[in-house]
Amino acid sequence: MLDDLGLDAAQEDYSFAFLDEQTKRMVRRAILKAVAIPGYQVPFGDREVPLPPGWGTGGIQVTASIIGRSDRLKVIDQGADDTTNAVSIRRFFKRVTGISTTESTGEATIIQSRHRIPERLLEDAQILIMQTPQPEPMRRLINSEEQARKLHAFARYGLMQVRLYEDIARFGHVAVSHDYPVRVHRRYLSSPSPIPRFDNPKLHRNRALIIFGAGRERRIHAIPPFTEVRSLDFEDYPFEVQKWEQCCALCGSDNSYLDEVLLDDKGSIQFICSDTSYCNDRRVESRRR
Amino acid sequence: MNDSIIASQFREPVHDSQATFRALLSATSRPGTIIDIPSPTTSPAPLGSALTAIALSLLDDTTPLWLDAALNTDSVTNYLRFHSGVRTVSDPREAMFGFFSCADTLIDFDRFNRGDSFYPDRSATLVVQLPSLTGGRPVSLSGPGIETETSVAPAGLPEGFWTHWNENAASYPVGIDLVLADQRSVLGLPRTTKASIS
Repeated sequence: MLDDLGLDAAQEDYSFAFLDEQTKRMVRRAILKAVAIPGYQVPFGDREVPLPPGWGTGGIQVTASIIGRSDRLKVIDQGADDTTNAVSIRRFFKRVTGISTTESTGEATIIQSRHRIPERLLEDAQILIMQTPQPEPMRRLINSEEQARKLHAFARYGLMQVRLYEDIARFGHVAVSHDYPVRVHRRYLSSPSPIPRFDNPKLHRNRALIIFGAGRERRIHAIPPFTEVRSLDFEDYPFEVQKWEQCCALCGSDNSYLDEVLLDDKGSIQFICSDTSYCNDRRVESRRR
Repeated sequence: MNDSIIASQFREPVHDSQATFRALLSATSRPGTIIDIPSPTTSPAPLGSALTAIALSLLDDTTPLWLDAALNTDSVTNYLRFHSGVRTVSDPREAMFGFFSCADTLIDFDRFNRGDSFYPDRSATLVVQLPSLTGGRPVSLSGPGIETETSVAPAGLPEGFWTHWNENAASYPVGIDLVLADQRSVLGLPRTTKASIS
């Protein structure tokens, strides 16, 4: 019987990529519709995976439905390959698929990420999968799913503009640092997942396919390659990304997203790249020179 | 039911379905690109190899399937029912997937469910068998997934197809999605793709 399923001895204990075939088909159909309707949240049936909701169950289910034997997987959490969540998800897929993994952005065919888009430009053959806690950008403004769906149906997104305007009136600037709402293909208002707004411009006409998976909320949305993605703003208050006065203390980069790191009890701090693969590449390169 | 039906699925069902899906994903996310897809060991004529692969990869008992007159034969329905458990329907409005043996009867998309503005994802995906994905009249495509524009020339499409396709694209976000296939490769036309005839 197991022969019929196409499993070999090493995989007899789990289905390839953990999910059963019926579930994968369902998620795959949802992904195809999500790609056909950029930015629209397609409902799917969330399954239990060995990870608590909120830790990337949506991303895992998307990755599991997509991944094949020839893929090379990279998993990052806040840009880093070596954080607990990233390490355990990478090990999980290694265990249930037997595929090779990598920490290098350039070598990966599938990148599952939480809260960052890699600094290195993505390529045509790559797929970026984002773990998404709340795919509905208007959820904090509207509790009702029915109401929010109505606003999407009629493309009435004035409420979000008002929310941004209130920030400007109160603070003089839009005080949204993460999960900054975007309009995809001039139609759907979408959540880019909690990436820093520094990463928002990378969504615009990216060469790679980007898929967002929200497990607890049971939604998948996607941004195909070369799709127009505009961050909401105003003519007199154009969208801006975060800037730092410091450079990365390790690689000296002055154009990457920096994390502030506390060094000792006296409160000394250091700024380093949040994208560890990018930072390592730069340091290796400078040593060669 | 006979032995030939039972035996002839994908050689490696799990991995070949995955590869078929990835081909469809590439085709949908990069419209106009011709992508090779795996072949099942055999396929029930007149259902071509590519359509059989797509059926084995995406269909199951939750996806009502509509078959055009030429495909609606015992050998095809028995094969699909055995391997995927799919239910065939005669009313196109009920179908999640529609399979066409040729593009002659394709012209009327409105027979199929196009979704509504609340749930545009609840629309049909039509899969059409063509003699070849090249060698027809060239058109230029643009939209998400295409860097600037790309030229395609699928053979065997009926007169007026692209005008009708643009009407479908104009009703975005509702609309049907299309997959064109020859024997071994596919070309995706999601509803966001617009055609201009030169």
